[in-house]
Amino acid sequence: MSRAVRKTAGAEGWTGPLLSVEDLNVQFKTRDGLVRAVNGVSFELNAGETIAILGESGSGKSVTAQAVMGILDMPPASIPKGSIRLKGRELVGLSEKDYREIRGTQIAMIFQDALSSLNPVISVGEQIAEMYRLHDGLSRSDAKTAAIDVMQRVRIPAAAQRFGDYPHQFSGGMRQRIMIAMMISQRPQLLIADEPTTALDVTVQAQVMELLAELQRDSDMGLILITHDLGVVADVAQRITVMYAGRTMEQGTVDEIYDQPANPYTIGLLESIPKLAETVERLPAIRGLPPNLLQVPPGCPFHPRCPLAQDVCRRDPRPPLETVSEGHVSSCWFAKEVHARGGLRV
Amino acid sequence: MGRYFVRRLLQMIPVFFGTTFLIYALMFALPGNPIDTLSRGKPRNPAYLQYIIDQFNLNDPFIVQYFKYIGGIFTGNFGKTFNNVSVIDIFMQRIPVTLQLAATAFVIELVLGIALGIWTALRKGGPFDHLSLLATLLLIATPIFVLGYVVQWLFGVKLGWLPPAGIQAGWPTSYILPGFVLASASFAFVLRLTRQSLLEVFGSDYVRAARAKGLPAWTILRKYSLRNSLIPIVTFLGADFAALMGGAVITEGIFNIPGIGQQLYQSIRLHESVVVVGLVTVLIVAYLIMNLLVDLLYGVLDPRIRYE
Repeated sequence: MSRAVRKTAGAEGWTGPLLSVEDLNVQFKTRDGLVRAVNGVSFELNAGETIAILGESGSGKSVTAQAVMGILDMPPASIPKGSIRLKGRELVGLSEKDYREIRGTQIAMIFQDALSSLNPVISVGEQIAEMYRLHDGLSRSDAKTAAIDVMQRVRIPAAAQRFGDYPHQFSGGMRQRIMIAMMISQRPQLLIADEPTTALDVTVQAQVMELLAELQRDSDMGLILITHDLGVVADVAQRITVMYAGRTMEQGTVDEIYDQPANPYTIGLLESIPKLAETVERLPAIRGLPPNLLQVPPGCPFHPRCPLAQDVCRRDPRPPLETVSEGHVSSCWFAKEVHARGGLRV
Repeated sequence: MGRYFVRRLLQMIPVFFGTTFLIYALMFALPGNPIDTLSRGKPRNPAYLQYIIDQFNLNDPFIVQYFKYIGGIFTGNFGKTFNNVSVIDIFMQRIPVTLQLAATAFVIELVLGIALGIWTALRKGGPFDHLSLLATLLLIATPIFVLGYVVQWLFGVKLGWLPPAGIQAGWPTSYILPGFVLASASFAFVLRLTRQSLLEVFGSDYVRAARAKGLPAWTILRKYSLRNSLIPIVTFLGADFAALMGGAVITEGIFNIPGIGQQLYQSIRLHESVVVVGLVTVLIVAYLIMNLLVDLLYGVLDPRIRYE
């Protein structure tokens, strides 16, 4: 099967969103009980668009990404409810064989720690070249040429000479570039980047984000950026989903969410970004810790840490997603009030 | 790499002298002496005994005996047994037998141990996994002489599938039963080791990333999981092969295999220092070479390991 044919198969004439996730629920069976890692998360992504999924550790953002990739171990994981559609094609319940043909070719994923995500005993060139051999059926030498080509595209210096080097011989930023080269080698329509810059130095972070943005411009690829770092999001994403304890807390455009957040949790996240223009004794942090997913508090899951919490927040049901303005929703009983105050400081 | 290799080879020289000296000293320190053992308490022709004493320098002080022996080795004379058989001839006779037995056991450990280890890792928690846990525990816990006699009786005598003893039928027929018995404990260990290291690697980030790349399950298992879990297995197998080379006194005894193990046992009883020291030295050199090979193999298996 030639490359051109496969890439467009089943997608001709599709005008809807590239990816639509609806009411996604993911749970894990553990020895201690059922962990509901993702509860009713929905979002859409168009071709060429970047969205960010934001949240602390344990918020369910990585599980959401892995559910889309179809790389959750099932069991113990399962998707009891919800739908993930890529160009209209339902991915939930897809056979492993069909999913494998999509992974790496139509949807691809970059992981947080490139060193541990690259096979330590195989050269980086081979790890990229195998994509061309297995997915495109290229010969060994053609695959090598193609791999060096894509290594140059992500700007790895002396790509041809470094083809045979191993992951541990590269710097952190270069390793992440190799990971990116590997994952964009098949020109996927959707790229998920799970904390792609968390393990990197600040200057290198900017370079990697720039590279991702550039690759996206060239290819009209949809990008889902998963991060806990609001600073990274502002420049690249168009829309944001804020997650907490496996639930959507707030969703909207980047501008809306930065200028007029409608959820106390989002405000807490925004306040904990250091700002160059301000001198503070101590960076404000959200007090407390994210809940144990085995024992999520009743009502709004954020209420034990929320400065605005009232009695209504402690009782079930949890607040529904309320629309505060066009395309901007927030799960908070006080969403409208918070939004109306128009800015930081609760 | 080349320098590392040469250095490792040079390190074998002191080890050679140390071990030969130690074994020689131990043989010398054994209670009793060759003359009494040979006479078995009966009166013997004094001329014959004097001949033996002269021939084997038995009246010299220990250190002189040792240096005469080492001197002999460097002129190609490994000495003779009391029956006037050259030690070299004994080596030539015994070592091939032990090699065949060791190779049989090794192949069983390697092939069955790794294959079943992979299978149980892939079917973790399944009925076969539980069964194999039980079976391997049983194999490790059963003394080798119990297993040896049971296997010999069942397959050799009762069912008659394979020769119960001796090596008349040659390789492989005669070596299958003793090979299995000799391999049993190590096979069980290799199985569990393979399963354990694979399960660890299955949870690693690079295996998850390999799935995200859309690679076929077989490719992931071979290139990602297995390649990364081989080091502990190779370490164990390397040491075990060297140990197998040392022969197996009990297994060779049960199945009447005329290998190094039986010879060593016999020679120790007869106080034949030259035979014991010679055989043990050959074994130690084999052990050192195996260790070196394993170390060199590490560098091939894991590019992060480099030799300076």
